Amino acid sequence: METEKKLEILGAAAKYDVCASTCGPVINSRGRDTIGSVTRSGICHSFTQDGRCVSLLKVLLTNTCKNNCQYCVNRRSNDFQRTEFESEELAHLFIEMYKRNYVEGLFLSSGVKNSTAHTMQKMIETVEILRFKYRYIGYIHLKMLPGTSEDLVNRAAELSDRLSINLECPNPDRLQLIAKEKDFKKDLIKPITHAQHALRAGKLKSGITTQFVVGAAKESDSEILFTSNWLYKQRDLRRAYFSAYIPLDTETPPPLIREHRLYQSDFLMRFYGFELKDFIFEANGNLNLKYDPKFVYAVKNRDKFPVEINKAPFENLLKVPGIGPTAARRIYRARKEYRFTQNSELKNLGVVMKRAAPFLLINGRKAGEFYEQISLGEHCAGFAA
Amino acid sequence: MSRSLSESIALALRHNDPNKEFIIERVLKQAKEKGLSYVLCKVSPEAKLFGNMCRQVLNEVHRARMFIRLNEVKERKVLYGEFLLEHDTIDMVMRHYTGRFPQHTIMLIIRPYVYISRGKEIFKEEIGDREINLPVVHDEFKQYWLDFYKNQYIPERRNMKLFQKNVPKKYWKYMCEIC
Repeated sequence: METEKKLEILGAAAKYDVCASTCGPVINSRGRDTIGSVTRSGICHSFTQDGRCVSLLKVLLTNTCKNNCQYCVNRRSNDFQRTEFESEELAHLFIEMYKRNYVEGLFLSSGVKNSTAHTMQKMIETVEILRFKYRYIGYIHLKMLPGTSEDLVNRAAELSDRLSINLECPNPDRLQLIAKEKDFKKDLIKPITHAQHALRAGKLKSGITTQFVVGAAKESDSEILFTSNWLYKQRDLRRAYFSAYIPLDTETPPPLIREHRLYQSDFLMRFYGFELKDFIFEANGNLNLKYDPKFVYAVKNRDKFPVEINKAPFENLLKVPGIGPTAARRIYRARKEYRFTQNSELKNLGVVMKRAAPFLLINGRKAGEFYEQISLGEHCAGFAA
Repeated sequence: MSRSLSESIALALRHNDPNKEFIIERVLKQAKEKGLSYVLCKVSPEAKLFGNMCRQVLNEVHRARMFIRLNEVKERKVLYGEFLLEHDTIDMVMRHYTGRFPQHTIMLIIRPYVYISRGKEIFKEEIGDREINLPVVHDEFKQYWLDFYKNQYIPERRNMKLFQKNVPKKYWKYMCEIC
């Protein structure tokens, strides 16, 4: 099969894998006999009509897979054309696309052909060609396959910037519903543990990530957030990604807003000092779809608000809807030399006043009132302006 | 916030706003009267304007890193591309590409000039609207890229508003997959 056709098939098969654009320490080839660089802020080279960034050459090594996971387009029982890249072919394809500034790095995943060890070896071989033959020092994100052994994880960690493995489900019971052949602990958590050891040994520059398919196993948001929180704390996970399940048959897909609410909660845990106990879930264990989790927290914890902008501790500023980490840092820094007196000053420095005003006092004066009746359903008493 | 006032001024001076010196002067006055943080944290409208100028300059550099498409010149170690820069950022853009491809000469057409890197130096020549015909390698990789880009789209997630926000129209003509 021609490379063009392979790329068409194996590129399309990898599009449901979520990954960030590059991240990690700044590096460039200046003064070296190498090619490539990594910048601090991720570079998206294009955007598709769904608004998603195209940053990395996201491909599978092969779409042949011995597993039959219900959520996956490459499952064994799915009848469609199978193909695979040769390691040299893929390495050459990538380096030429990189030179043309089409892509910022390589994201390599794969179906499991023959065995995990066999496929992982071939993936590692591709990366070795890039690193040693083409002398490429840019960004590589390598996917670990379920059940990858410690020595292969170590080798992968030495060669790539980031490693990831898709958990897909938050716990063994849910996984059993959609991927009977996978053992949650042995096949998925264990490779993460190996990668964590590699990370702590300084082999991995950009950490470990994972991905959950939202809605495939009828799991709740609280289950997903519980597991991601555990991974952040116990396995040094850098980031969890959430991808709304797109059914392969006539099932109803979960609302995309659910994925968005999970990302908001994830950011609150990672950058805003929120704990799992701070989230308020509906009776079914899901987050409120109408209001974002930070707003729900603020409404449910009325006793903690409003906060005085000129005095509140940094941690409390971060809990106010409409105030992000950058705005909170600016407020904290500016008020050492200056006392805020007007709403417009906060607006200038990046506070979304429409959202923040009801929760703020400026010099003892209320910054604003609620402009609508808030009703969070059965869990929350509504209150008005 | 992590930038110092002098770094911010250096960035703002690259902006194409004809009033930039006036804005910088106002901001310096405010820094003297109300403190450095007042200005760097963008508390006043002038400080916000000043901060926005810095942001727009850095955004332009970032977009040049994102959206320039390079072509390889036949039998030469030259990579060349064309783009639009509205602020004085060419040295920052060139630095990115020369650091990434040190074995290649980088040639960027930013009309009315063409900029060429040689080692650490950058040469500039006026070309106006003239077409530059280089013996470009016509290879299959452009077609690969177009196919790959097309296949990354998930129709169930169509969001044209977000797409247009991320890729300003003024850059479309430089991006082979969009133009």
